Amino acid sequence: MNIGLPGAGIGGLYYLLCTSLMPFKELFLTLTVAEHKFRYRLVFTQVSIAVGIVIGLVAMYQVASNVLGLDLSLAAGMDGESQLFYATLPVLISLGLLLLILMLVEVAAFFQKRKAPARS
Amino acid sequence: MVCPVTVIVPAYNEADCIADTVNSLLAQTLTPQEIIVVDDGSTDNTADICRALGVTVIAPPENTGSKAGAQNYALSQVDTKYTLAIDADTTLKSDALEKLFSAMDDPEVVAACGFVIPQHVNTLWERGRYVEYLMAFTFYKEVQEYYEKPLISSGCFSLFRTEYLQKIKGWSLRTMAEDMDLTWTAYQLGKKVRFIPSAICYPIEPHNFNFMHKQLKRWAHGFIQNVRLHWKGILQVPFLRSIVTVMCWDASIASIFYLSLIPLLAVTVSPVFLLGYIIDLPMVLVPTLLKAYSRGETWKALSSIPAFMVLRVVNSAIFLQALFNELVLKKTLTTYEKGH
Repeated sequence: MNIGLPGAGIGGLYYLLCTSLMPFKELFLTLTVAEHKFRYRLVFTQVSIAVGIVIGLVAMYQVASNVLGLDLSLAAGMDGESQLFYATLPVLISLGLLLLILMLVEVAAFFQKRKAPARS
Repeated sequence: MVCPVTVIVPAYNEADCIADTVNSLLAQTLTPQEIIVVDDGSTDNTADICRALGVTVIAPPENTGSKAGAQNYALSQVDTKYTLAIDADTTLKSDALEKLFSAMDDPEVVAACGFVIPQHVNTLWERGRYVEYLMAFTFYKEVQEYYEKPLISSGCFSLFRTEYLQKIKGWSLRTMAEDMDLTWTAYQLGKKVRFIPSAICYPIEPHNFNFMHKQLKRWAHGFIQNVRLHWKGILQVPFLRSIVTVMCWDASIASIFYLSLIPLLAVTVSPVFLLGYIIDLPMVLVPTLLKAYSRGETWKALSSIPAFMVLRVVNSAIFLQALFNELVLKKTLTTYEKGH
């Protein structure tokens, strides 16, 4: 059951972030929990998918800008450094938005948790 | 080997497909103790077909009006430790129950679900759904499972601890997405839900726009109803709160941008903005093709990608309509309509 826009939006970015944290979480669990075994296959598969997606996104950008000859930046005529900044701006905005939303949820959860015992 | 599982199959006019479902249950490597088909007021010969196959058929005095209603009717007759809920149009891979059953080794697990792949992949809508499932179950759901919070224990095929179902008084009728309600309730009670990707089921998906619209409408309203019902509770469940919030954002704000801002910019500024519709293609392609390749279905998946793009647009439009109806017009969907 998927609602709305599966694949697009910050949801995809969120899952990429979660996947990128998998190896570290797995390493932490392996080191701290005696009976935990590093789930190589699962982590490798998911991280491979994430890496594939990132490579695919960069390739999409390259195809659009070089092969199709489209100017995807808002900063044509700027120097290379500025163009790179503008090229990555949509990703940075999405990432910033995602982090802001996640932070707000955590703040809401914190206040909700504080309110809950007071009610009971 | 017989396992302490009662299968509940709610059925309403399922004569075309119920035999396949029951036969796939009878062919399981782990045999369920009992199979109960709830003939929920069918006007065809669903009940006769099931009786001929040797399974128990029960019938409520009148149509219960929803899948959950039919399932609850049967739940009172379950005396096994586990209950398997399966849709009447869903067949299983021969070891699906066995694989799913393994999740119950952990006493904290109250529900487990498997990988869903459409039984038929022919029409535009079935093809779109095929890609959607391959992508979501290969990437999203695996990540959710890793962080121990699968978003939903799918309604079409899930195994439950009967004690849990009885404790929460069965499948709730308060929302249009009873599977989501049941899953989120479990998390709030501190219980676990598992996703077992090797347990594979094959439901029949909506084959035309009419049925797809009904199903997406029910899902969209069900999601909104569940968020309204559970938001305080799920705020206390790490990871789940993040997934749900991000999903809310994507389904509402991102959908508005997707359906209005991109075409607007394409018309007023530059057609280049139309790339916005395909710029995330790798997000769809990579997990989809990875799974499709392992199933020997690469071409089928690749040729179905455009159908997914169409389904995605329809999905977002229907969600926005549902959001408007639920929040602005206060028109809550309460009538259950079969999606296929």
